[in-house]
Amino acid sequence: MDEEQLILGAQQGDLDAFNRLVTSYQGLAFNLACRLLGDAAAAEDVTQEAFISAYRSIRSFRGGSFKAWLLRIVTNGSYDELRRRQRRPQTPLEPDPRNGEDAPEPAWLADPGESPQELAERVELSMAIQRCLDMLETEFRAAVVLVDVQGMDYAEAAQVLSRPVGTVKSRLARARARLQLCLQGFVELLPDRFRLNIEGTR
Amino acid sequence: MSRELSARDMERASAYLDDPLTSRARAAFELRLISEPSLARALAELRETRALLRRAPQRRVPRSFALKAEMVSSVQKPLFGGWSSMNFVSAAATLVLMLVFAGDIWATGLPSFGAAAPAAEEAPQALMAQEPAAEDSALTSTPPAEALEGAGEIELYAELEADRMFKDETQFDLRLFLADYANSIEFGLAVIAIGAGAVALWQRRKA
Repeated sequence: MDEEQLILGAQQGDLDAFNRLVTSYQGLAFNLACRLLGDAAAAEDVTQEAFISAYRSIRSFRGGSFKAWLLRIVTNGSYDELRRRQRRPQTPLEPDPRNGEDAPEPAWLADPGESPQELAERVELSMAIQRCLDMLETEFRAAVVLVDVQGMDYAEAAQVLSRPVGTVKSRLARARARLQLCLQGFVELLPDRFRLNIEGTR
Repeated sequence: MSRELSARDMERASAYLDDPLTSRARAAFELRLISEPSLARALAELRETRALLRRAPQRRVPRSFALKAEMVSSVQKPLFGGWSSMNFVSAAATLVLMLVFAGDIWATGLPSFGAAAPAAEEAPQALMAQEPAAEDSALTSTPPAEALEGAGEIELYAELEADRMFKDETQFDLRLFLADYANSIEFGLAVIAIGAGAVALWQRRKA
């Protein structure tokens, strides 16, 4: 069954059809929420809520990119969560490496085919990127996560963010410039193969 | 360094990487890359940054997010974009308050803020005070205009009172009811509206 038929089935109340869409997009949705929130537990909640909300409002889906429609729900849910956090700041239960606390066991990153050294390097890279993303304003972070981390094109990202392509383009450029400066600060922490080859370009 | 670039050039360089420029704009940008080393350097830096971001590891999904029937049916969709019951109570109390206030005006007229009411209250006293003088002067003088006005109001008052007593015994009169109880009802509704609004605000903050 193709995506269009699954959407049609879900619109008629077929939960199984909708769950097949969930299976297709849950990785993308969860990773987007994770990068926007910087917190896996909160991302899990936001992703689940987004799928519930998507199921309830799927009758209002009028065609176009289902992926963009779904990710817009995830993005809006993440924005809501960030706003909630601003209103009620909380101390995270997970250790914060910035405060000298040890990082948790990176089970989520483990790949059976890679060595412990490679795993450690990937964890370093992921943490450096997340720390730099966390320093960006929400709108800039969303643009760079959608285009650079999730690999979307400008038009798709514009649909997800409900903004014109030009806005996405300028936000992305500014976000990249800021990330570049931030990642340079982590250059010593990054493994050789991940280091920005900036010295060579000067 | 890319920091020397203008925001516009940075935007062009960023767009050039993703290829959304028109062929003409792209050709013009490539010409500039040849003649401006700082632009070429900034572009290289941006390319490195983008490549690094694209290598960011994807997290594995911790569990399945597939929905179960009870997940979809158990959570009730909030009415009207998430309004809680307290919002409705507050809005309804405000609406009824406005209706009662309008009814109050209809029943008793616009409040005159200390002009007519005291005059009406003072009218009997004014008349009483005038009585001896009126007896003394007998037919020689006419009562002052104020006293006449006061006497007129007394008659109206008495008429209304008689009417009220008669109607009390016979049928319900909304006008008289509002004249008697509007202030108490308005006060009660205002307390409910403000209280429910405060609770709704607290619930929203708590959520």
